[in-house]
Amino acid sequence: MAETVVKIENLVKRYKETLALDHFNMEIKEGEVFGLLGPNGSGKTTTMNCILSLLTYDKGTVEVFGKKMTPDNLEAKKNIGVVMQNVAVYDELTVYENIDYFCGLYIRDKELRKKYVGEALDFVELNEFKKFYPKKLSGGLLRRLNIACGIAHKPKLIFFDEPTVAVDPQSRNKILEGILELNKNGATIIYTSHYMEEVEQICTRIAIMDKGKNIALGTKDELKKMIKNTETISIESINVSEEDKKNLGALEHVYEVNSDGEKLIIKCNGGKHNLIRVLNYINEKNIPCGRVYSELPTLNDVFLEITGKELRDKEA
Amino acid sequence: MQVFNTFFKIAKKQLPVTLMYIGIFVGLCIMMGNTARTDKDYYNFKACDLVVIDRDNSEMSAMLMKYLAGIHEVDTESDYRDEQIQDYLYYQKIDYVLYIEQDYAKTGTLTNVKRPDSKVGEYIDNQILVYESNMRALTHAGYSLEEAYALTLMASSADGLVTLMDKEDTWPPIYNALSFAPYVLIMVMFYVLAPVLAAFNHKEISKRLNVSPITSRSKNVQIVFGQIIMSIFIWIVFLAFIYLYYGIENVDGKLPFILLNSMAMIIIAASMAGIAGNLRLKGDILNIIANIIGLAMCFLGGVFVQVKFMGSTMLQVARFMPTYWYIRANEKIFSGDNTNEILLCIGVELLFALVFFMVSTVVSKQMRAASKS
Repeated sequence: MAETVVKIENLVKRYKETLALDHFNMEIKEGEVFGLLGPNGSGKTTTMNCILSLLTYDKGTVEVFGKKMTPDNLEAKKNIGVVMQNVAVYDELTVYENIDYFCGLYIRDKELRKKYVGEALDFVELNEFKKFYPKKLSGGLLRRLNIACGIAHKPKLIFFDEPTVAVDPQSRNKILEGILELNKNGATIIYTSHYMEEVEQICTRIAIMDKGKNIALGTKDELKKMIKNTETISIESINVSEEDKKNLGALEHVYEVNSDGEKLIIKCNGGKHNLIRVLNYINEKNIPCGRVYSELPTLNDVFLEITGKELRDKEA
Repeated sequence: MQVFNTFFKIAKKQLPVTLMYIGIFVGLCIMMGNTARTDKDYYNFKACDLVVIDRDNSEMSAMLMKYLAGIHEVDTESDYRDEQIQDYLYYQKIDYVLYIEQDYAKTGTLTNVKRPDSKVGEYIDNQILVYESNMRALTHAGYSLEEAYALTLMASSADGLVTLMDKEDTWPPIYNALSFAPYVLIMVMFYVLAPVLAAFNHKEISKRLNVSPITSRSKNVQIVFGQIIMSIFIWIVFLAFIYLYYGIENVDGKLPFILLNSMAMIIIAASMAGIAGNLRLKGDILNIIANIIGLAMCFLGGVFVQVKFMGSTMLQVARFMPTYWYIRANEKIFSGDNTNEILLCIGVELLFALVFFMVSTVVSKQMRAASKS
């Protein structure tokens, strides 16, 4: 059985009157890609900072590699890598010097460090920019440098705090692929994000946070099974009468029908041929319509159903 | 020693700015060296180029020409045409043309040609007017022409002596160089030390350092060690320049005090830069702050404007500037004052350094606490 790498029990953190973490519990096993998902301000970064002893907390315990995490737990710190939400590099040092400096905080041996820095440069594909100063790098390249500085020393546990914020899709994919590769090479990953697609894509287990609480925990399939919704059928450019809505709602496995005059949304719970049944009804009644599609539930649906609100702002 | 090494790697990037300020300092020293004079008076009569055409050929006209020839370069031989005179005046080959008209001895008639609005022309007009007035007054009083000429000559030779206040002092040029030290040391420390400290105190970078297996104590010790080494290095560069440019022959027993005083100043500069660094000031804001603090302390503390020229209110303000105590110590060192008085001034400087250091430490702790809470 895999060892527990991080264990949080009953963690409480207050910022004056605001309760940032409310009796939060979490356990992360070795080899996991653990996702902390939640809207902005839900307590993801606070959780991470408490685990890393960057923040003091009011109550609870945090254990890393089986020992209580404190600022003086240097043994644990040796095996931790952190990729901050904001880029944390020295503007005055080149790409190579930055990676070498941060790697040097962990690795004393110069030869070994040189090898590690070279590997980190290869990993983030920044070799051709190694003599560049950070100010000369684009946003995506800067993010990659930020990652290289956090992982060059080959840590066993790596924290990624929203590493893809303000990154173009191409760089984002590269970052996600890189994280999976690090995991494949043996690192345990803790990944915080408010992008549910990313968390779904790479995380083996997910904790959904809201208002400092862990509101759901499990694999993505386990999380999706927690909710009533199993399928959402959307029909565009359709105008249905109240009677039609009532009839559609009476179909087998359909539990909710909503229409805004332009789009019809039908939510189903279980069943295998929901879409066919809905289309047959529309065909029989000869109701004109536009595009029709069926979607499986997302983590946003999980969040929506548990909290009654969207996981992410509409524009995000 | 990773933090310590990186401290100097970042500091090395500030080398161009450091060199710039050392250049300014060298420039100031050279300028002060060139303007330092040993003679007492700063103002001399200027000899102008005059052409005098004597149409009277009397004894009086000859005396006037002799008088002018005693002050200026006078050409009485040339036979210029009017167009030539215009050209020579225009090209400033000559400054003034004086015509001593016929019957000058009786009527005193003189005419002249000069450049319009020429200060030189007015200067010579004035000299001739004074000469004429003296001669007439004296001859009317009964003096002979020779006696009147001799007395006029004597009266005109009494020059107004202008003496600058600091000319009374006989301090060597090294004194001036040491007086400018606060400006250079404050600016260099602000531009070299503050950005390095700001880089280490960067919020996100601090987080990275705090999650690394280096204790806060070790990190702080390495940074403080870096600060000390850098301050000593800048101090040595400064002293080396002083030694190479001025030598130490003229300072004899003053050397220990000079070293002590300049050391106190570099500690003050380092402590102030420490505050700026801990406040994470960088770029344009650091530029503005460094210039305001550097210039204000130097102007108010007597670096640029000597203390003896300051009004009483200014002096009250100056006492709250560490630069004032540095300058006072410097003056006392070179005027050979009592050792205790020199040490008192240096002591006050060190107190300022201590206050700045404590403020710097408090700022650092506050910033860290703010990011931890």
